[in-house]
Amino acid sequence: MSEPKKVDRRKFIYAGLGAVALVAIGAAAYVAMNPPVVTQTVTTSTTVPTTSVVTTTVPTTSVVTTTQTTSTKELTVWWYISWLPGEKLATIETTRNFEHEYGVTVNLTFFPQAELNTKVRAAIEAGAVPDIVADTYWFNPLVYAYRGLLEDLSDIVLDPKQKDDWQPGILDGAYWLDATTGKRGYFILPMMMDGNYFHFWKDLYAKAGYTNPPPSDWDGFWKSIRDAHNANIKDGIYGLGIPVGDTSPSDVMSIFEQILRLQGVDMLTEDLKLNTSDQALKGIENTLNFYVGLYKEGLIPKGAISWDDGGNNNAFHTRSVVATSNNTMSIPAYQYSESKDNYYNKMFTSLWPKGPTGDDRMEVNVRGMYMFKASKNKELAKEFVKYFTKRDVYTQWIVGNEGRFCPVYKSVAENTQFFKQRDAGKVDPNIPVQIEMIKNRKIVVANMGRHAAYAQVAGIENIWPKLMVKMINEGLSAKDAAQQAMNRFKQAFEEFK
Amino acid sequence: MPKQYKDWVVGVIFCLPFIILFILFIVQPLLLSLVYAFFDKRVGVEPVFNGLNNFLFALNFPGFSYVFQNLIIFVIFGVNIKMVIALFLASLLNEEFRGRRVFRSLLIIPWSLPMVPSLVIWRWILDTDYGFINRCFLLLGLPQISFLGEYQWAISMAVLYHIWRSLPFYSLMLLAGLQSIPYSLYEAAEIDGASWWVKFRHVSIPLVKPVYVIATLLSLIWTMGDFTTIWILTRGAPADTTNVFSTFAYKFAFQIGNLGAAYATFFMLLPLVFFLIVILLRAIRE
Repeated sequence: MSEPKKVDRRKFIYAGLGAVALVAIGAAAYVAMNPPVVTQTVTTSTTVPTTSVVTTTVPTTSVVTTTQTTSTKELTVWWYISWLPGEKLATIETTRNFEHEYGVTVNLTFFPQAELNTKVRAAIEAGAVPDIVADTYWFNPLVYAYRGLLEDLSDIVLDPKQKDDWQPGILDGAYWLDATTGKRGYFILPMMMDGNYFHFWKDLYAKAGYTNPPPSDWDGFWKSIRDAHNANIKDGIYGLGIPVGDTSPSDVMSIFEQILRLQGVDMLTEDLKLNTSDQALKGIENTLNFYVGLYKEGLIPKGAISWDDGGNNNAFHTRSVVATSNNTMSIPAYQYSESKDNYYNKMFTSLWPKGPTGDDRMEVNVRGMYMFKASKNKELAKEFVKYFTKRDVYTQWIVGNEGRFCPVYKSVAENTQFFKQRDAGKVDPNIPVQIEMIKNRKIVVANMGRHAAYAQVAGIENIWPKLMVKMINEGLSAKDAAQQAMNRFKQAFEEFK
Repeated sequence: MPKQYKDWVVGVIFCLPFIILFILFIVQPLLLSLVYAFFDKRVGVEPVFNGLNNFLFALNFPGFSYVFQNLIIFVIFGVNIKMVIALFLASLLNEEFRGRRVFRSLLIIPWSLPMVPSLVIWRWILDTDYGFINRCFLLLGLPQISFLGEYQWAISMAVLYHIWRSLPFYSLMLLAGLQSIPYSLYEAAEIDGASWWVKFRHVSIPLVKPVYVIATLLSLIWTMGDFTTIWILTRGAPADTTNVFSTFAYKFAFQIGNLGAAYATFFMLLPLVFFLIVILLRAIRE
């Protein structure tokens, strides 16, 4: 066998340079043969309609392909992804309609919620933020607003056309402080409102002799859960399925905050200061004791300590528990898609009972869209935000969400048949509970949606489940846990002064 | 141009792409993070010098002390147990026996599986309510174990996964080392009447020692930087007790939003990793 030929160094360099030159020529030829397609609107290429009154005939006829040197208006929108296909489709459809009406391109990207948080933070650091983000974690934008990163949307939120149409109290969840200017403003467009709901399997609950609606008083309600537990546990079915551990990023905190509120505790004063009173401390202690007590008593499956946010949903869907609590209507929405018989005949939804002293407040979280000050297309981005406030557009979108969220506009909630009776001729035992909540209970926005320090500790750091886990695993007393929480809140309120 | 300059220029041209990439993606981020470790750097906010406060913030953060404990657990139990088992497995596979090839192929499976799906499967198996193991316990009338809900169990399961996953790689590495030992040495030992254990103790171990040391050091470095195992299996739960340096740094950066503390966390581990790399390089040279 002959020895392999040695490559001369000079030839090697020439060959390398030749290859680079060839690639460059090829790339140049490709670009020359495929010029970028530039679109131009009939109005002007650089301005965006400043009013929302745009005829639908404009877009279909106005978008033309041209080689003129005009820039295409593009929006980058990042949206949370939902496991309900309807939600995603509703957003895609609304976005496409916006594109047609305004003759623009919207680069809509869906991310799983946890990934969206990471992406947004990385984008902020990289200085390349998207124009708009739709987020279901309301406590993140609150901190961004505090740091002066978000655009004030007050002009849209307080537009006279809709100012009085917002659901009572919910604007509290969008009115945030920008610490860099010292001013408060509306930094998020409320689009979705959740609440805290209980879902029951009718037959399992009936085994203990209970029917819809469950007792609305505190003691009576929990007695019914215990009775249902005792009636079903021999079959391996627990009375209650709520997450307990810190692998659940949002369910535990929502449930905990709801119980805290029903115990009559306001962690924030009216002027949004931390309530450091003994009554608040005692309230935390009582809530910790109550929540952990449910777990220790055995009413909740043992694995709930390591459930993620889907854990309670799964427990309910698999009929491992009689009842569960959730802060959206995702459980009925899933059952509707899987089995209408289950949805209409085998399950029902109720509100939380009134607190031990009769406190009937229901905590809601406001979720929606926000845009960054650093957005490259502010005008167009604002048009996009405004577009979702048109009642017909919004109604179509929120109905497309399959009832997971309550409408943020009174008119939509009152006038949309979907929220009263989903299918003609059938009594809906689930979705209308949202409307019942607004009519019959006092709505308060969760503290995590009101103050950046509270959002940081209760939301981002997820302090409640961490303390509960320590109580369960390490025997930490409720009193010490409450003190630890209070200390951390005090520290954070100093930091977010 | 004189020849020595020509050579130098050509050498630089050849190295330039690597040097540029190295500076861009290794040196620059490393220096930047070292600087930021001493700055109060929050997401979206200009950095402000704050001395050692980030280190203090991290060290005082609830649950952070567990990262040191977990590092020791991973090093003592994860790395060492794995390496000892790997050595025995390698010795076993070095012997002639029926089905050796099949056994070698089976051994590879945990390592060849993508990490995230295999961790998700582990999560599933270990689930307290629906997991395979607890279902078996239930059938046998035994109490359920909260494998991922209690610290001792959760960290043990993470270590167990670590061993299960990387055992094949190190077994094969040591097997390669064992196979490079001249067979004549074993024959000589056999003529002298040496048993399997004596051959293993006095022939295999001394000669495979250099490979063993390098493999152990590599394992130490990779284990210290491992993020996926803890993140997918426990997310640091329960109550931030199962975190390791990398997961805590990630939490600081992307959950808490304190980038300075994340860099500080990273730099707490770096001297140790750097020290191990120096030893590793020395071991390789020797």
